Amino acid sequence: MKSGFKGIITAILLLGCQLAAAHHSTVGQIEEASIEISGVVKEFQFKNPHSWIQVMVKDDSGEEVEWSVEWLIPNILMRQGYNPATFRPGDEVRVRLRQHVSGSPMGEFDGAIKADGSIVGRWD
Amino acid sequence: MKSILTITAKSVSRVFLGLTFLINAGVTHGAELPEFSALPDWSGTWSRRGGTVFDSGSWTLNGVLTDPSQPGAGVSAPGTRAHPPYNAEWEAVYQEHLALRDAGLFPDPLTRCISHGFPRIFNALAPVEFVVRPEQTWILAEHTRATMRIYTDGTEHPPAEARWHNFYGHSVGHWEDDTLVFTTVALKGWRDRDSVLDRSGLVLSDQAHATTRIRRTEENGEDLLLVEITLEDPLALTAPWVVEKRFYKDAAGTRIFDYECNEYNRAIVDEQGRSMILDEDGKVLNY
Repeated sequence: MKSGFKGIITAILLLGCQLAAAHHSTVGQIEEASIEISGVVKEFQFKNPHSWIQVMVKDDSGEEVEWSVEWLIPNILMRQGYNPATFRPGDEVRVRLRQHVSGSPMGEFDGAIKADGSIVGRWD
Repeated sequence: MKSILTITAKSVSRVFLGLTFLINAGVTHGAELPEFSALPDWSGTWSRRGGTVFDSGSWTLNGVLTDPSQPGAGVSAPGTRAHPPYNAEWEAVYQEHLALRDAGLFPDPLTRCISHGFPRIFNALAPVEFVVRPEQTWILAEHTRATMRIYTDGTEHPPAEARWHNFYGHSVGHWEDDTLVFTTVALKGWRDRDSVLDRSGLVLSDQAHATTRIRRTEENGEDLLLVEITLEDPLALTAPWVVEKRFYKDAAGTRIFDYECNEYNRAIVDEQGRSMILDEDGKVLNY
């Protein structure tokens, strides 16, 4: 966890906004249709309460944008045969996800295909 | 003389502490414990089927009522209501929670990493284990690292005025052949706004109590633990509410893993009840 991430949580708590740590209430927040992004894995955060795949993607102007792709809890992934090495930094991937309705570079993971053709998750 | 006084003081202190413990933790009378070998085999891991809610009719996805037979829907005992028999006051609370949920503004305590509590432990997402011993049965849920203890050693519930109301309450029970029967009291209910029965916003009062029956059976060749819970609540319900949950034995070798909900929580709930997702640098991504 980066210091900036910790910092904003601390700042929010100090401001007395009555915020509390939480994870995923996505009611009405996720598009139904999947989109596809192509990029390079920056980090696979195989941690609870949910795993996240951080993918660096070049936008139309050539600028790199970091996408946050949320996946299942690691416990379930372990039972499905995945592990922290399923994605490694530097892996070239095409990822299908259902994006957040805000249009932010984030969404929920459907599946991915790596440069070697191996498939992770659902890729129908 | 001094040493005698010291010993006496220590002894009195120990007796006092012991009595305090008995009052707060429940009193144990000398029950005849079953032989370990006579207890049923509930080993392995067990996964619930039938959805994470009790009231199947309540389940909606983005405000749209879904088919109760689909994943996410609940299962109710035959002949019983899926919808809790609330009185008017608590039905209004439930409807308010459902509306907030559909608006994405009902922050489930679980999303704040607060444990399931009882009876929600039987709605847990991940597998559970049952450790059956003559004097206690432990229900171990992977999700939120929950442990529920059921005393079968003759322990009685503490008197009402001495109860510490908490997420799992206080459970005592006995065996009727191969069926574990236990009662649960001292639940938190909705008193502190942090204990719900499921994600729909279904809540009961801190006066709720339950009688639960668990037995192992078979269904279509599969091993099944059938959990029947009769919930009663003099403040919220007009009649006993019977719900049923089904846990099927997982394949041999299925493992439970560690689950620390606060390990790396990238979401927080704002004062309106919205979930905000943070990026690596703490920037809010979704609002």
